[in-house]
Amino acid sequence: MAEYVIEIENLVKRYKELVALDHLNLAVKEGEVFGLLGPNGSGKTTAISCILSLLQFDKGSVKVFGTEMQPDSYDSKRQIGVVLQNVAVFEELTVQENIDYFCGLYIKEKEKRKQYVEEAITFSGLENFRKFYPKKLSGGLLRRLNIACGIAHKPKLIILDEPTVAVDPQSRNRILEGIQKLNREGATIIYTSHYMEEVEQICTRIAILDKGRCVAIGTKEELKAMIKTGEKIHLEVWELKPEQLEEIRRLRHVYQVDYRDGMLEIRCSGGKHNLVHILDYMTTQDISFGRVYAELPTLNDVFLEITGKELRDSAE
Amino acid sequence: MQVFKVFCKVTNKHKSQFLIYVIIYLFIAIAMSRSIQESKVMEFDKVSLKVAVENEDQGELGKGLVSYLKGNNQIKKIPAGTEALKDAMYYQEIDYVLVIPQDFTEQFAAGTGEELLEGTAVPGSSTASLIENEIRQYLDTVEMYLAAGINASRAVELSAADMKREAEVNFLEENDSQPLSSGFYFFQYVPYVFLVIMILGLGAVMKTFRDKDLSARNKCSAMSFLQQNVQIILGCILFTLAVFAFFMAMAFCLYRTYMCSIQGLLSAVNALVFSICAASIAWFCVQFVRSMPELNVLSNIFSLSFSFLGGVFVSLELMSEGVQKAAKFIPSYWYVIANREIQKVESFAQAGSIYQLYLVVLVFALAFFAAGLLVNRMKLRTV
Repeated sequence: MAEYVIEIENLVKRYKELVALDHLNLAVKEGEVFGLLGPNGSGKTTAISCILSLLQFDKGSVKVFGTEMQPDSYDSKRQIGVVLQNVAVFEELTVQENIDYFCGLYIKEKEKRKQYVEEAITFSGLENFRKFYPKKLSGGLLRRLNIACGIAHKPKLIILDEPTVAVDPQSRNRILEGIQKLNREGATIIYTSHYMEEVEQICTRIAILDKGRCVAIGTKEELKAMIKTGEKIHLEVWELKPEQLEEIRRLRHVYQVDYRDGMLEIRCSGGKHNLVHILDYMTTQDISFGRVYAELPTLNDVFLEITGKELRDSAE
Repeated sequence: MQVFKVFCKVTNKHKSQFLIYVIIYLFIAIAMSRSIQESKVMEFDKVSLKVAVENEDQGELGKGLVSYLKGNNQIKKIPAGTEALKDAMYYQEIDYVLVIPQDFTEQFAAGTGEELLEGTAVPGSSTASLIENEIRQYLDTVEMYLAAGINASRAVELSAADMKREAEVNFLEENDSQPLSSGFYFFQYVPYVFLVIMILGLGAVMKTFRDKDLSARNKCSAMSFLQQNVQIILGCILFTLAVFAFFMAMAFCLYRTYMCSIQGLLSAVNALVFSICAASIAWFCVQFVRSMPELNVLSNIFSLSFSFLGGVFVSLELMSEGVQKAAKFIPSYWYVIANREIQKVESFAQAGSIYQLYLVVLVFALAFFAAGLLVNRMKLRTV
């Protein structure tokens, strides 16, 4: 087995004038939960489609399990489980029949398939819905069915393209827990999402995509370490003089201060006990304040600092 | 056979919808074949009218005109009195009243006679124009002889002889005296019915597999593209055979004598060949559609255009030469030709040309299938 399950080199995909993937380079190691994070239109789904050989790309190469991926790379495809962004199931088949169909595209032995289908049903918590037709399922159950269809054949590599879109929190948690379980059982996971909380929660390594380029890659800690913001402190302050604002700005490790609508936001770059220092200052200056809370940087801050725009544009 | 099994399950799920299509179009085929056969008048009859004539002319022309009208119509006496005349016309005891005035022969020879004739018909009735046309024809002929210097007596004689000549009436099709059987008309409408059922029915099932997301999901699988297509095609063949078998069972129930004849057997093979072609057209169509409304549009375009141009609804003889030439590029034309030729066949030995026509339709089937396969292949790497 190659060290890298997926290797993407200089991948370029154009749709006429639009460059969907711009010399994308990625490598996914075996056993990882690899997150592809980016706003809508950043190229996540296009990258997945190229990996799966669903799309012809203009330049570059995609290797899966060490071999060049082609439409007829059936040996590689046999080891891949795919959960596409849109639910892809037959309306005319029941839950069990759908899982059996997709499992049957990989597993020929009837007994083995039967066992795998049962396991997939249990895994996705669809035991009580096995005879249901997709139209009768809720959005969350439908997503779970979509996942069950993708993972029933026990693939070594599972690609999940935004599997939690329009899913209720309960189903979302179940899906995320399921993905982590699959990873613990040995599957390498590629997970695309524009929900940074999900990516932070389950991914061991993350690539941030913007305009078809990989703008940052690493563990969440590594990504956060790439940016200046170490901590964000928020204080509810009713009155603040300009000279006081200026003095706060000059405090150690503080590099950005915003005061808007009675809320003071202070960004600190590294350092320890920043909150204590700020509160000390407020007390000595006799500045009244209400709510106080501190935040560690999020992936949104990483994205904001790297690209100059919010990652959350279209996130829920 | 995972894909084939699902193909059958999906078909089974849509079976009530298919049955509706099949029954509706079967009903249409039967109704159309019956109505066409009933409306086919294979004899030509001249219309005979009831004409009341008052001949006041003492000359040859008056007598000659009455004698001529007697040949084609029933001559009656004019009822006495205006009221009686009106009643006779109202109750259609007479269709036309003609009064030939005194000295009509002399005045006609002098060139003023025709206007002197008094004709009365029921207002708005077509009989007036029919009988007036006959009178005009007769008088024109007499006038021609008079103008040539022939005397009135001889002119009347010659005109009577001329008017006895009649144009031969022939039908454009079915020159043979043998009337065509209902079975022929049933099979005549098969192209339309099969095209609609295959494109809408088979197309709907195939469209499920062509759904953007399902298609992408299937392409990601370990089952080869070829294997998936082979299984879908197997499903199509089964569906086609089922539709064909249903129609043949219906044909056997309705036209047993015809179906047990050599014509019936050849017609059944012709229908089978065309059903394969219709399935290929459905396969081709489904490569371009994503929704049922789109499939409906294509179904109408193919079924109606192929049926009208191919001579299913309108006899090929009634079409212009250009249209007939264009029709050679559609399979239904060859099906219709074969269907007609089959009626003339009395033994399998005479059916050589029909086998060739089957082959032409099969070539069309192959062409549509190959074109569909090409489009399918081209879309392999698009999502």
